[in-house]
Amino acid sequence: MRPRGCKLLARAARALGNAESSALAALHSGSSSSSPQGTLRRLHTSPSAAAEANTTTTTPTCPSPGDAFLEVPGGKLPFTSAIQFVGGSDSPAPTIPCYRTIDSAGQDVPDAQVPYPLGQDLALRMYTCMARLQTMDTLFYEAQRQGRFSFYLTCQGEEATNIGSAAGLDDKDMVFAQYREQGVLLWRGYTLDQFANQLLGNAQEPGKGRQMPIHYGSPELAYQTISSPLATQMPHAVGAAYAYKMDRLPQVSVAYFGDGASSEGDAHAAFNFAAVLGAPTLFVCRNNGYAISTPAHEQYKGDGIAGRGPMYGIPTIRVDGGDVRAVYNAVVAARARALGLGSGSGSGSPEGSSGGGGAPGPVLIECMSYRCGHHSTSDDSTRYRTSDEMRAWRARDPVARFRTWLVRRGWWDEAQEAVLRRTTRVQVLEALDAASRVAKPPLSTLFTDVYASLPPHLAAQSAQTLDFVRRHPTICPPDVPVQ
Amino acid sequence: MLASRNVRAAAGARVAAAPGQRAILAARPGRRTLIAAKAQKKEIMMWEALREAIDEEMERDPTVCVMGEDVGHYGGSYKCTLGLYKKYGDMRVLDTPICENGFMGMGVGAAMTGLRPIVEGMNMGFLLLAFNQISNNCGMLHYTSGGQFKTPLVVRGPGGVGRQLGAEHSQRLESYFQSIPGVQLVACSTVRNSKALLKAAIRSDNPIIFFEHVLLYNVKGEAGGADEVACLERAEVVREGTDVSIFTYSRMRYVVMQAVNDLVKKGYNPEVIDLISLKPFDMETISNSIKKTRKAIIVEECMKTGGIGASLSAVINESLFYELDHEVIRLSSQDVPTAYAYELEAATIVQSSQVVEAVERVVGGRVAAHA
Repeated sequence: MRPRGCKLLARAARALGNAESSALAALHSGSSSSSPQGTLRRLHTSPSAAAEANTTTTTPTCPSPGDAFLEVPGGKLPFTSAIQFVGGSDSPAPTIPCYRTIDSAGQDVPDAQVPYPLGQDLALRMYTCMARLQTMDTLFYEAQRQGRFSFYLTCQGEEATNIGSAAGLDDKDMVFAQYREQGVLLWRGYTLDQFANQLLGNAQEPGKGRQMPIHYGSPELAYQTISSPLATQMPHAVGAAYAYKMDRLPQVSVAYFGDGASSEGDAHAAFNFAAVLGAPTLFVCRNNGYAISTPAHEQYKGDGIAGRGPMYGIPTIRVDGGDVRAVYNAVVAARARALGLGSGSGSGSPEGSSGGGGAPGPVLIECMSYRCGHHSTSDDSTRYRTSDEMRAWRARDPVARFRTWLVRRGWWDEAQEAVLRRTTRVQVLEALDAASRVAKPPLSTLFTDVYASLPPHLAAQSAQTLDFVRRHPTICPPDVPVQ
Repeated sequence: MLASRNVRAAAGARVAAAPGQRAILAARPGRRTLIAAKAQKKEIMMWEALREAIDEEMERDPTVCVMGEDVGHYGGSYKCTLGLYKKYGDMRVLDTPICENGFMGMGVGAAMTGLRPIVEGMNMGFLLLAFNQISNNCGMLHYTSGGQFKTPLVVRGPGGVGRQLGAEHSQRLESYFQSIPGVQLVACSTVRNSKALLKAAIRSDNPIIFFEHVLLYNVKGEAGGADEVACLERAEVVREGTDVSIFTYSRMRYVVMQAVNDLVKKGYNPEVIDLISLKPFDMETISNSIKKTRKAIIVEECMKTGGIGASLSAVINESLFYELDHEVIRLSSQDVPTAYAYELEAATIVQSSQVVEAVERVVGGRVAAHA
């Protein structure tokens, strides 16, 4: 093709959309695939198709006789004579119901399907993690208020979402969290010392004090370093899933995000890409009702985030985010489905569930809960919600609910509760004390890791900075070594 | 130097132009250059050289993959991935839906998971939509994670002012990207350096933003073999000289060399340096040149405000002030959106006559001594 044709084609491609530009390409160059349909891009709907290099698309080339359907590249669509709008306040789509197995009084929901029942060991492991998470959050929050470090945010009200989902994953499934998922790290074995080190940004934390508090990261625990901008982690998760799929690994990637973050363009992009590419990603939405001061009913007009999933072609479930057993079951089932394994092999597979067999792809889980705490230590939510509302929700504490359920079964009691809370409290305080005695990372590390190794211009800046500090030693705080 | 696992190019690459480009190329590179001596050597177009680079690196390293709009079955809007999907499959040459921030984020996530993605922007200008992922994540995550995660991806695509493509398709994104800590910026200009640099960029552990130019894809020249991998941080001495140092990159290299054609006839002896590495600058080559000529002219396609020339001018001023006989001259595009009309478009970018005039003004009196 002549150069000018190339450029015209590129412009046409942007203006008209890719399918038509493929047709244009066929016309322009007289390429071997002469029919427009032959140049259509194939959708990655099955792993075998995606893996093979040379299979061609299977869209029909000729419209069927008669006018039964509208057959266009966008789909094979039945006709209707009615001028009828669907969706919106006039004819809303049905609200997706909420899967729940333990009611608010901590009792089994009688007819709940529980394909993955909790044995005592697992249940206690989950509960102790939830309780420790709650105590840890409370103490770290108070420590920030006392000025020991600059920032914290809790996941109070969402302990069941954090722990239930973490327990349902494989330890190697890469987690792309937003910032309110410290429970996932705790479940996987991040120690209180590691939490405290990161919060204080000392020399022992692997992030080297570069990120603000709560921006944890741990390759060993398959947890990506938190990045502040909302929803940017969602396309990352799709990229990771793409890598797993390409390497045929039995792993999923997991993107956590909130109701507010779901409004970001990256969320839409991630959903769409994952669906189109068949990427094994679990999208776990923590719908906790607030994005700082914006309540959910001002964040979206449709049926939450779950309502969007089916529109992207993503199998979706909505869960009571305060019911740790429901969250756990949904995540285990979703994970198997994402890997294209169907709904897994738990006893008593839920009847009526389509196995989703064969094709890897994303799954969306919307966990409905309530953000009991303020958005962060920089927020005072009494400015936008009533104390009554907050009090009512504290009474629906997911940790208490699960504790009641355990106590009913005789697996837990008040004495054990008191011991757990007391020892956790002591451990958290010890971790904070220990972390505060560790020096900060030296100033000389300020310029490292910008690139794989130090380039000349940064080496020069580093030398200048260190030289300046040596000549003015009072500028550097006493707990920050220079070299 | 930056830890890109590259091999220094053959010594010959540093001296003047590669054999395939010994002749001064016209400012409209669509024309063939007819030189009999090159008849025996195989000349290919830049898009083919880029394609060869991608093909060779994908063959060599199974973690290398390509993603972008129309890169797969269509072969890329500029044919840089033509037919590669047949060889590597639809996963490794991945067609994506239209969302630059989406597939850039996907590339970041894949890179953090062990792949080496080449993310193609159909036009560099569209990557403004991907700015958040490039800046806040791609550039930062190695640092903010304390070195625990890395993002070894290449972001490439055509930029620069084309022929009447309109303002939105004529962006020079190196201006916007240059401040991002953690990314490297590389601009190729010849068939030879485009292939060798792209290979190096793919092998680098740093995120590289690789600037191609929309009007250079059909430039013809000789490409190196599978083992020719350039140094990403090294500028190219296009022409050795003594009168003045002209710093340029990408398509402006050809504009400068056209001016040099005229200047040589008038008795001047300019030195031309193709920056190649827009971030970081190759200060060794730059300062050696300025110490020799004591005069610096920057010729760029960026806007005057905040362009690569602005940064380079500041750095030269700070570090080489006493080596200069004259202030740094900066020839840049006008600070206006690039107009569609041919004449207006031409008036917004640097023309070779402006380069000639700048050299005459700066060198001026020494011509009399030569004559």
